[in-house]
Parts: sequence; structure tokens; C-alpha cells
Amino acid sequence: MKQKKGISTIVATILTINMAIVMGGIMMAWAMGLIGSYQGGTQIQYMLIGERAQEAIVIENVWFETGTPKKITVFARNVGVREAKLVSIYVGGSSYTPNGTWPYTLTVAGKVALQITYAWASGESYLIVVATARGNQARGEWTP
Amino acid sequence: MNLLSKKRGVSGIISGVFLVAVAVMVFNVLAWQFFQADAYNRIFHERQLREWERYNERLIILDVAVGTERLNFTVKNYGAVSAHVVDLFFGFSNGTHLYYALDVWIASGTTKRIASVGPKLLLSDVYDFKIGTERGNVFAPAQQSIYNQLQPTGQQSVPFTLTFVTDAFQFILYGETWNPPVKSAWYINNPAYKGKHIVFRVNITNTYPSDVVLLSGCNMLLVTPDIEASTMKIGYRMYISNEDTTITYEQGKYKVQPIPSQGQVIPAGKSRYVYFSQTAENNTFATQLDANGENRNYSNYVAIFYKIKNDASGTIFGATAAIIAMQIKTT
Repeated sequence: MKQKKGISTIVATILTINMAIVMGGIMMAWAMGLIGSYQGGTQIQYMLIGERAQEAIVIENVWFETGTPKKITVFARNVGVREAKLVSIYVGGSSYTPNGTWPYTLTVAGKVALQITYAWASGESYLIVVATARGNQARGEWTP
Repeated sequence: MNLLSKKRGVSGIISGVFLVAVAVMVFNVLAWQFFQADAYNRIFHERQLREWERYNERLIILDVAVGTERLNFTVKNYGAVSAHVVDLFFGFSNGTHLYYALDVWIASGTTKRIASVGPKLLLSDVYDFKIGTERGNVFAPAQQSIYNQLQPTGQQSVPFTLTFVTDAFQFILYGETWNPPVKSAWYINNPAYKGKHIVFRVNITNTYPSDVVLLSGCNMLLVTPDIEASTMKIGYRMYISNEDTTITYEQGKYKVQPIPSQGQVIPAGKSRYVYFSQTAENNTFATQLDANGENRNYSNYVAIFYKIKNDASGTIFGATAAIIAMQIKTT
């Protein structure tokens, strides 16, 4: 008990070490959380870009069908390696909803005929665009 | 107590542990980033490969058969990749569209006949079609519409051709030259031309791969059905004259320059004007239009007698270079 100075030194050292360990731990946890959060967000972004790159569609053919009412049938094919969810079809800049199931999930190498009612005029050119949920497009000018 | 007495050693361990931990974390982050980028690049490389294959898929449709009950055609793959034909889009001229699925593989550089596919066809059908591949490319035959009716398919080569353009058939009268502008001869309509002496010229192309020599027997025969309704009558008969000939007036006669004894040469594959006016093969008199007013239609036969230059056999051939419909109105 005569060595009060020594005991206080021990206590102080232990306290200092403990505090350093705790603070370091807190910082490690914070830093790891930060990195994990960054990695999670970036991974999702990479995944979305990758999926989008794996998806590809084309318009194979367009039929301008006579009759009442006049119709347009658009043949779209999935030429990518990932299924494509078709969500929009535009003719001349306006969006249309085709007959049947819509939106339509197009399997890999699959083909679908999308038929819309449209009063087309012979000799005019129409810009036809089919878009997917991932933001890919297939487009072309077609003239009946 | 010994440890506690070495305060520098304790702090060194703690800081060392933290340093290693931070280094490991930084390494992990960099490694993770690298692997993500690598995976991303791999996906894009695969996509570019698919795109390359798609752009290098090339098919051509040949020999579409007609007069058949179903569609028959040949596909040649002249691209760099094998093609899987999966679609047949069919369209009739009446607006009817049909779709059929196909399953035909065509290796690069090979040709395949695709027979008896599509709808049942009638002889009266007129249609077009396209084929689509699994890569999303679509190909159509060269001809826009296909007539299923059987048609003659023979081809006959002709030694001379006439291009039916404005300058291909022209004429001048006495006192005129061939300096442009020269009048076209398809339709002659001028009362002042009656009784005038005339020279025609036609621009003929030699389709031989050799030069040819035109002979003095070449002639132009203008036959009209208008003189007598039931009988074709010869309106004018003209023989070949010299190149660039004009009409001269000598001793009360209208004359043209005759073709030289060696004939007129038309080089291989070239076009030359051939002049007609002489009333007979062996004279130099220019043809004269009817002195009375006339409105007549003519079938104008351009007959060519010729030899192939340097042909050892010296064979004389005869051919009709053109049959021209023309009108002369001088009333």
C-alpha cells in the first residue's frame, strides 16, 4: 500500500489500453460498415450493368395488316443470354399496349409477335421501338 | 508487470495490429474492385463476341422455285459463322401474312436446299418471304415479288443492242449536220418535212467480246399497217451509209456517202451510230419522205449483216439489232 504511485500507474495503463482497444474496435466496425455499404451498392450497380449487357432484343419483322381496324404486328426476338421483360412498344413516338399478356417476358432465344391496333397509312414510314425493363431497345423504320 | 514496464512495446503491438487490419481491409477492397471489374469486362467481351457473330452472319437466298405447291429455295451461307434458320415470314400480295417456324442449320460456306415449307401455293399466287435466324438477322430473296406461275426461263444472247434513250435514234434532213442538237426520230411531226430527203442513225452496241464489221447489206425497213388496213406495206427501205454522212446535192440528185468497202467497225463492247439513207445497197441516193402529207405508224426493223473481225472462217452473220416503233406525221 506504500506504493500508491505504482497501483495508479497500472490502473491508468489498463484503462488506457482498454480505451484504445474499444475505440479502435469502434473505428474498425465503422470502417467495415462503410466499406460493406460501398461494396453492396457497387455490387448491385455492377450486377445491373452486367445483366443489361447480357440482354439483347431485335425486331425481326413487322407486318402491316389490313382489315378493320388496321393492325401492326411486331416480331421481337431475344438474342441475348438473359431473359428480357418487354415493357414498352412505341410507334411513331407514341406508346401502345399490345394484345395479350403485357408486359411480356421473352425467354432466351425466344420470339414473340406483338400486335397493336394502329391506323397505318401506306407509303409512310414508322419508327417502331420495343423497350425492355432493363432499358435496352430494339428499333427500326418500317414502311407499309 | 514486466510487460507494463515496457510501455513502448504495448503501443507498438496495438498500432501494428491496427496497421495490419487496415492494410488487409484496403487490400480486400482493391481485390474486390478488381474482381468486379474483371467480371464486368468478361460480360462485355461476351456481348461483343455475340454482336460480332451477329454481324458476320450472312445468308443469301437463291433459286426460289416457281410452279410448286410449297416454297422451295436454296440458302447459301457466305458468312463466317454457322446460321440457325428459325423463322419463315410469308406475305401474299393480297396482304395476307403468315409465320412458320423453321429449324435448319447451315454451316459457314455451305449451301442448303429448303424444300416444301410454308403454305400451300396456287399457280396464281404472288408472294414474298423472309427467313430469320436465331441471332436475329433477317434475309429476303433479291426479287421483290415472286410469281408462282411457271414462266420461260431461257436466255438468248443478242449480238447488238439498242438503248432506248433520247439520242439512240435520230435524223437529219438535207442542209443539216449532226452537230447537236439533233432531232430524235421516234416521233417525227412537222408538215414542212414532207418530200424532204432524210438520214437516220441508230446507236448500236456491240455485245461481242470482239470487234465486228458491218457490211453493206445492213438495212432499215419501215413497215406500216396504215397504207392498207389488212396488209402490211413497206413504207421506206434504207441501206447503211457512211458514218457521219450528210445529204449533199449534186447534179440534181440528193446523195449520201456510201459505206466504205471495208465496212464499218464497231469495237468490242462499244456503241457506234449506224447511218441509214441509201435507197439501194449499191447507190448513193438519199431517201426522200413522201411528198404528200402522211400520218403513219411504222415498225422499223434494223437488220445488220456483219462479220467478226479477224474471224478466220469469215462467216457472215445476220441479226436484227432492234425493232423500233415510230411515227411520221407530215400533214
